[in-house]
Parts: sequence; C-alpha cells; structure tokens
Amino acid sequence: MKKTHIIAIVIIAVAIGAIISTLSDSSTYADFAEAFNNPGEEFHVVGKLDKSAAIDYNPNNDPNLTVFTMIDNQGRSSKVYLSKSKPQDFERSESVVLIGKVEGDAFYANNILMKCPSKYSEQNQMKAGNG
Amino acid sequence: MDINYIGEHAAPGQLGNWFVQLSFVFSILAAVAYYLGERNRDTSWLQLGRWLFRLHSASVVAVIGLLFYLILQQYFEYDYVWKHSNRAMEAKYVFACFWEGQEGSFLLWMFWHLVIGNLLIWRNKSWEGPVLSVLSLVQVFLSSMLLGLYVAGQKIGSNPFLLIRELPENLGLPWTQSPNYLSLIPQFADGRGLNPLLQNYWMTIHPPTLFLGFALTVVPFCFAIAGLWRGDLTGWMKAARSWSFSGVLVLGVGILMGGAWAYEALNFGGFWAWDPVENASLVPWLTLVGAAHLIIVNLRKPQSVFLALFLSMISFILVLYSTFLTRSGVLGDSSVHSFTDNGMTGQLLLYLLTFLLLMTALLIRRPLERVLYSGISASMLVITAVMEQKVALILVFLFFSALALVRAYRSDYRQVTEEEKLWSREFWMFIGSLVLGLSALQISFSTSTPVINLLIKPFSETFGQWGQQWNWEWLIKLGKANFAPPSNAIQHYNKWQIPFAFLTAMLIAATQFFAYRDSDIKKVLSRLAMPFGLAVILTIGLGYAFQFSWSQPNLLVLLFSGIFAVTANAHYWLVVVKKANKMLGSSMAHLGFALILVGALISAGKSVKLSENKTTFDITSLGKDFKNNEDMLLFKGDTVAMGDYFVTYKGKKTEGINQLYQVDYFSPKPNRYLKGQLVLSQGVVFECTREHVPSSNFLNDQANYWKVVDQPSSEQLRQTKLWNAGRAGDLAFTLYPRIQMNAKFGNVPEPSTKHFLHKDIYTHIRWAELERDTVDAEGYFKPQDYQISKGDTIFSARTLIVFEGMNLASDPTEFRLLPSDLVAVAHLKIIQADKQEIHANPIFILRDNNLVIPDVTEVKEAGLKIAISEINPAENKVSFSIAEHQDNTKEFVVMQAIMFPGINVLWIGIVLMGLGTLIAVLQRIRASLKNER
Repeated sequence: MKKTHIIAIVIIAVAIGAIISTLSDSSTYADFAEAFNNPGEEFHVVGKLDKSAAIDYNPNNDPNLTVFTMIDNQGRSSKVYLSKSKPQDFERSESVVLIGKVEGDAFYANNILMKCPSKYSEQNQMKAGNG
Repeated sequence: MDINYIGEHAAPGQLGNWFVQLSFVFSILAAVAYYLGERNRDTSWLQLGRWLFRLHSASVVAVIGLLFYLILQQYFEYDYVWKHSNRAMEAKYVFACFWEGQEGSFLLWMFWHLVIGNLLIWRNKSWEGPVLSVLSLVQVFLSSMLLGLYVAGQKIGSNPFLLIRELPENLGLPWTQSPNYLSLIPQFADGRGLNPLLQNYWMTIHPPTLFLGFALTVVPFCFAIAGLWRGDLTGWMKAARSWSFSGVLVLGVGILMGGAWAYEALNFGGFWAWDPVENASLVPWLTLVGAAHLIIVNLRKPQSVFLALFLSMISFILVLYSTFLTRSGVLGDSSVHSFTDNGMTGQLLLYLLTFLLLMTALLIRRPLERVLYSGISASMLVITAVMEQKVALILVFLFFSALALVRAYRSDYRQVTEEEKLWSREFWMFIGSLVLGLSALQISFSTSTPVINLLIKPFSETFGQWGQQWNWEWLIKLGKANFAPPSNAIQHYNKWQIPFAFLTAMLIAATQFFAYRDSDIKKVLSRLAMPFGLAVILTIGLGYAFQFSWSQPNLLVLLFSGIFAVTANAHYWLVVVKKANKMLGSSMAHLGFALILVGALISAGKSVKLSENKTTFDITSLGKDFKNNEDMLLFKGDTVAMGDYFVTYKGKKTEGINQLYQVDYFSPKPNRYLKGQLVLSQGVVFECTREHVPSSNFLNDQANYWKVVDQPSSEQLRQTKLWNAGRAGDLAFTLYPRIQMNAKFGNVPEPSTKHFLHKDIYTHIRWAELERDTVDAEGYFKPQDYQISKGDTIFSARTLIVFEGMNLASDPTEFRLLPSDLVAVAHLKIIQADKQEIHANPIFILRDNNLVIPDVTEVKEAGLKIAISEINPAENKVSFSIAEHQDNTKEFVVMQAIMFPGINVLWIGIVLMGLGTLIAVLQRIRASLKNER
C-alpha cells in the first residue's frame, strides 16, 4: 500500500469523524413545544423576552439566578430559570436564544445569547421626524 | 421635478458616486486588457492594462478621500456619516468610524489590494499579465459591492454616498419633498455616532491589520491561477513565497490582535472563544500557513504540487467565505457579533461561487475537460441566479466541482509528483500542511451549521420520510434542518483541535531535523534526544507547577508537545545550524508558535474562576445539572475571601461615560482566634476555647480549639462570623472594572485586569444597580404599598414585619387629637435579623367621618417609615405604606473574577512568532534584491 493511500484513508476517516461529531454535538433550534415534549434534552430556543411579566433577579438570594418569561416564535410562553446573572440591558433585548432543557414545567437555561436592537442592525431613527 | 434642498452638500457625494462607478468600469477594463495582453503576449495591451489599473486605483483613492471628507466635514445628511459619527466624537476616531460600516471596510480591503497590485506591477514584471488580470477581476467584484444599483429588483452593492433622504425606506416620504428638511428635522443636526465600545485604539489598528492580512491571501491565489494559466505549475512560487509568508505574518498578527482586544477590553472572559467570526478568520490563516510551507517544498523539487496549488487558492476563497458568513446574516442567531442581512447575500454568494469555479476550472489541466467543466458550471450558476430553487442547484454545483477536483487530482498531477521518501523533510512538511488543512476543515464545518441547515432544507421532507420509514433517528434529526451550533462550543472545538495542535507541535519540533530528499533516521533521532529529554523534564516541572494531572492526559500531552517544539527549535538553531542567520527567522517563528500553544493551554486550561457563589441558597434545588458558581455578590464595604485574596467593593465613581467600580484586593495574612470568639462552620456555631492560629482546615482545629454552641442567643449570633484560615492583610492592588453607559447602544461592561509576571487577575462586573432610586431629605426611598390581613407578614429588606392586629384607641387625646376623632391603632411586630423585636403602632385618623389625617410612624432602629394608607373593612384588609431608609439596602455588585496563569507566555509567543516571520520575510526579500543586481 502506498503512503498516499494511507494518507487518503486517514483524511477520509477524520472528515467523517468531524461531520458526525459536529452533528452529535450540536443541539437543534426548537420551540417550547418541542422542548417540552422532550424533557431533559438540550435545545436552543429562540424567542422574545416577555416584558410584561416580571424579571426576577435577586442577587441577595443568588447572584447566579435570573427568572423570567420568554415567548417563543410560535407564541408559546414559558417560565425560564437562567443560571446566570441578569444580562446587562436584558430589558432592551430584541431577540433571545436560550440554551438549556426542560425539567418539570419550566425551562432551565445554562446560557443565553441576546440580540440588542442597536448594536449591529441599523434602524432608521429618522422616521420619528416624518412631517 | 428638481427640489433645491437648502443646506445640503450634495456635490461631494455626487463626485464620490461618479468615482465609484469609474472604479468599477476601470477594473473591468483593466482585467480585460491584462487578459488580452497575456493571451496575445502583447506588451501594448499590458501597458494599457497597467494604466487602467492605475486609473482604477486613483478612483478608489478618490472615493476613500471623499468619504473621509464627508466624515470630517460632518455632513450628517449622508447616511454613512450619520450612522458612524457624531459631533462629540474625538478626531482620532475618524479611522475607526470610516471602517466601522460595511462599505468602509470594503474600501479598506480594496485599498490594500491596490497597494499590493501596484507593488506587484513594480516588482513582478514577468508575471504581471496573468496576476494583475486576476487581481483586477477580484477588484471588479469588490467595487461592485459599492455600486448601490438596482438591476431587475436585485440590489447590487451598497453605496456609501447615499443621502438619508435617498434611502429606499425613505423614498416618497413627505419630508423628503420639503426643501428645508435639514433644518426642520432635528435629528439631522447630529449623527448617531460611533459605538462607544469601538472607541478605542484597538478599533484603529485591528481592522487595517486584519484586512491587510485578508488582502495578502489574494497574492498566492493570483499567482497560482497565473501558474496554471501558463501551464507552469511551480514557476510562480519563487515570486509568491515572500508574499505568502507576509500574509501568514500579517493575518496571524491581526487575528491575535483580535484575541488580545477581546481579552483586554471586551467581556468575553478570555482570549479565544471559538466564536464563528473568530473562526472565520482563523481558517484561511491555517490554510495559508500550509500553502506557504508547501511553496518552500516545491521550490526545491516539485512535490505535492496539487496540494500547494489548492491551499494557495483556497485561502483566498475561504476569506471570501468568511466575508459571506459574517456579512450575509446567515450566522444569525449563532454568533454574538454577526452583521444582519444587508440585502447583498446573493451578491456575496455569487462572488464566492465564481471564484470557486475559477479555481476548479484552472486546476483541471486537460483543455477539453476544463472547457466542459467551465461551461456546465457557469451555466449552472447563471440558472441559479434566475431560478427560485437556488439551494439544490448550488449543492449540485458544489458536488460537481468536488468530483472535478478529485478527477483532476487523480489524472492530471501524476507525472509531476513522485513519491517522497518517508524520512525526508518534504514528506513531513506535506503531512504538516495536511494536518493544518484538516484542522481548517473541521473548524469550517462546525462553524457552518447555519449554512448546512440551508443546504439540507430542500431535502428535509425526503430525509424526514426516509428517517420515519427506516426508523433512523439521525436521519430524522438531519431532516429537520435546524441544527444549532454546538452548545458547548469550546468543548467541541477543543476535542478536535487539541489533537491537531499536538500533531502540529510535534511536526514543528521534529521536521527540520530531517534533511530534504532523505535522511539517516538514527542521526535525526540522536539529535532530537537532547531536546526531547529536556522537554520531558520541563513538562514534569511545569505540569506540576500548574497542576496538570493525568485525569486530563490530552492536556498533558499537548503541553509536552508544545514544550518539545520550543526546546527542539532552540536546539536546532543554537546547536545544529550553529546560530546561522539564515535560519533565525524560521526557528524564532516556530518557537513563538509553540509558546502560543503552551501559553494558551496553560492560561485557558488552568484558568480558575475565583468568584464562587457563596450564598446559602441552593441553586441545585431548581434542577439537576443546574449549577453555576461563576459570579459572586459583593456588598459595598464587605470584605470577602476569594481565591488567594480578600476583596472589598469600595464604591463607584463616574468618569465620562464610564461607571468605575473600585474593587480592592488584599493579600491574606494568617488569622488568629481569641478565646470566646464565635464562628460559623458547616452551619454550626462554634466558640473558641483557646487562642490559636488556625490551620488551613477547620476540621484539624475543631477538636483542640472549638466547642459547639448549642443554642446561640441572638447576641451571640450577631457576633458570629464565617470561619476563615486567613484574614485581609495588606492592600495588594485595586482594580476598576467599568460599565460603559450608553443609551443608544446599550450599557457594556469592560473588565479590568491586574498583570503579574506569571498570572493575570481579571475582574468584571456582571450586574450592578446602575442608578439608585432617589431618596427624600431624610434618606428614605419612595414608599411602597402592601395590602394585608391580620397575621400576614411583609418582607422588607432587612426585617420581617408581622401585622398582629388593630383596635380603636379608647382615648384619642393620648395622641394629642380631638376627643371626637376616630383613631385606629395597628400593632406591628418588626423582627430584625438578630431576632430582636420592635413594636410599632402606626395610627389611622378619621375626623368627622371622612377626613383622613395622614400620620407616619418612623421606626429609626429598623430604618422604616410606616403609615396606614387605607382600611378596607369589607375585605378585612389594611394597606400599609412602607418606606425604607437607604441604609437598609446596601449597594452591591455582582462580579466575576478569573485567574489566568501564564498568559505572558502567550504574549511572548505572539511577539516571537511575528518577529521571526518578519525576519525571515525581510531576509528573503533582501536576498532576491541582491540577485537582481
């Protein structure tokens, strides 16, 4: 067997390994319905912070716990326990991605990604001046 | 209908527009002229091409100059100026504001291409035709990104000279018709401004460095195409060699600069986070390093030519791909700093696929097959552009191209490639490039999950059905086409990249000990023995010092390989080549790279989160695996043990837009407990029986010095403190982590770091009360209303308030009121933290049956003001209005502190790698200049 063949086999093996590992390490984007149907399984849930509900962050009790309500893109809302301090500017966030799983009747997130409106997207604020 | 707008400066914009179009036209003409010059071997065409390229350059420079002019003149009627600058901005940020936006960064990229192009015209006459025609083609695409035209409903480019009233979303709005709109609408007086987060020197130096790095990848791309075009597979490499290593240098420095920025000024909590945007710039660097090394191999003797060509070209294509990923909006939810879709996704994609097609077509060496492939693929792309179902066709195109590449590799590169000897330097350099390529492949693949979702989508139904039919879980999952990136990205990438890093380090260590062609393996091994032994000893030492353990063998093995690469390169330069000047650059660069690996491994792998959650609340009660010990709460004035230190949050001050939080770090000194002192340990109160200096563990001391207090009194409880072996000693240092207050862009925390020789202490604020509510003259907050019934309890900040009951006062004159008044007296029991009870009796006065006389009872000891605001006999409820004194709630911050050991090794490595590569490139350039003379 020539060296090139061995190398080719190694490359193919590594490539297949990388693909499979990526697919198995990646969770899936989902909505609450799916997350609640598969409790204990990890999901990324995309949605919006329910600004009408209370955002509970009481650092006196626990600086690493924020409790709030999120509405997913299908309109279903759920209570969320986030094991992190309340993110800066949380109230201003436009869209939120939670990473975590369902246990019981709530979603337990260990991480959160936030999109704030003004950071990169370019809103046209001139509209206020229509006249 | 022409409106004469008052106060608008339209002329420079129109001029700019004109130059944008000129630059586009000149780049097309230059590409064509150079193409004809090369095809017909006609110097007059080349001459023409040269002048056209210079005209193109001049147009782009004019565009850049005009955009700078608009920003400096603060013409806020221009969208770009309005979005990226404002009057308050300091002049030194004018560069940062120039390239903050998409158009500006494209201009920066084009500018570097021009510099490179003109240098190539000057230095590389023999390759000018093909190289410059490819570069001009690249410029055609880049300058089209600025056109801002609409062709058949499709937006082509985005023009930086657009007035706000010309924005598509504003077209036809009434205000755009009024001639004096600039003075009518106050928003035009000042711009939105540069994001304050970007107002620092990093934003001035990082983008130009990174974009120069990106731009330099175009050189090996153009040369490789030129070589294939002329059928001279290796002749171009001599000219491209120094360019490629310059790219390695600049792109490497640019990426690491981004890491340093993230570490110093952003709150990523580290140097590298495997964020998609970071990955997108790392991947082309990896392939470029592989390409540059294969160029060295091929300059000796044609060997693995295909891979050399492929890596040289794919680096540039990966730069395009990274542009596509970060700017098209496909990354969407997966990255914290991606751009949103700007409507040019299709254009970026077309750009990417066209160059992919060009690369593949030229790698095919049989004329007929090349023509066939080009024809079929080009028509596929054209159909894709007009068709609805784009994804499927793109997938077919990619598959077809991959097949064509495999076929070309198998049939067209046989005759020039001969099998290398196992113990030859070129073989192991080839393996090294392959490892880099595979590493790049893995990172790209994992970063591309959003793209993969898009590609799978058209087939998702089919996959889903098949999956159901055969009951294959993974196929059903695949069919959903909604893969999110790995939840634990760092873990996922480390799993793959640690083995790749290990292999790379081992190859860096050993490869140069082999001679070209073939070498005596025994001799190689005997030379490697010394550095190997030294590396083993150093690994044991460092592993012990930084607490590496066998429970993580992968980290230990990587540590060894990194150290081995350091010792081997030092040994090679000092002993084997006897400090030869010629080898200094490469040895230093390799040593630097190895130090980067070692430094990254130690600082990231052995970083410690010092700030733990020490509160009593059991977070795990909320759910399994739900534990987070990262952040800690610090009340103002309290001193708390944290890692090897004691910390105190002293207070905050405001400096400009920053809120600075002063955190004092104290070094510990041994504690001393006196007889009678009370401590809390494991939830039990102990009393000290004998004066002693505590050992490191309470359990060791318990039998000898402590006795349990069974039922501590409230007075005793008040005196009880947490047991601690040490106490705060001298002030070690003070850090000022900050929060940048910004109403427009959001408040952003910025860390503060104390640098030691062997470690960094990094601190940042996770949460803070940004502003306290206002208090009245006596220091009370606004009262809050609580409606309760008898027996209920109110939780105030520091006390429990129990409502015990209510009665009518028998003698109102007791309260110095009229005898005819009706006085209700509430009985409240206020329980303080030390269990002491205070009784308060707020009263409610009714005169003539309807007039209520307000009366507020102040309970000074508890810092409370209580009043009865309403009595509701029907529901048997009473409303109390309670105000708390500001001293009841101490100000606090939630902060995170991380210790990064050995991060200086990383910085030293970066400097050495940069310097080494620079030395090597400069030596090579000087040598080639000498040859010419």
